[in-house]
Amino acid sequence: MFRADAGLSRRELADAVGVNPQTIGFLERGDYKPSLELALAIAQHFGVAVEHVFSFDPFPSLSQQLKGEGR
Amino acid sequence: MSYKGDIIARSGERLNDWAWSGRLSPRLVIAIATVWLLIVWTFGILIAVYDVDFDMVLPLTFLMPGNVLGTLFLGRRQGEPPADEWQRARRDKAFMWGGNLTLGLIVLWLALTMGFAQTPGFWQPETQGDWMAAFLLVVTTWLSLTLIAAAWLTPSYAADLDEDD
Repeated sequence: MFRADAGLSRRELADAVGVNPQTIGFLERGDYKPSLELALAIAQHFGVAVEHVFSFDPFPSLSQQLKGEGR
Repeated sequence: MSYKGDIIARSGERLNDWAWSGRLSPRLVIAIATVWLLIVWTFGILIAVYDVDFDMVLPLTFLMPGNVLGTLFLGRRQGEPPADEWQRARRDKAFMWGGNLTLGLIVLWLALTMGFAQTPGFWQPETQGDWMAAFLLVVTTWLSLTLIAAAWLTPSYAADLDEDD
């Protein structure tokens, strides 16, 4: 979400935080848990708190959020 | 025109890159490593059971450098930035699985060797060729299991993530 909002490609974000573009993809799909260093670097890049980018529980999808707002 | 390396080295590098970026399907890498492992083990068993001359297996050893390089670099090419944390984690996990499984097999073999020391017909390396065959088996098992583990740890959609979107 943050990456899409910022209009960044995976490669651009990967270069900014010093990882391989595939690693960003694995993170986005929830298949990889990042190190604290990488999590903080990504949060810092978007200027938000780390808990806004990473969570123990999956973030609700956009459609779920829209449904929630509609009620 | 700048020198870009010989064609075999470049092909190996490209194959290596494809394998570890997921462009070569992880399943295919697993299949290739398994077939390679089976071929070498078949020759090893032939040496042990039928007393085949090690010289017949020698050509296989010429393929070993590629196997070693493919495993040790795990997709990292010279001049590229250092492996990132996911790549390092995959490499470390793959070596852990490959190394520990091979070590387990060696310990099992040593235990059997001690247990069957007095049993005639139980194969133990004696000649120079036997020891070379045993070395080839151990190294191939270690590297192949490491390759299989690394491919297993590579998601099948990894190649799609290479596209810049």
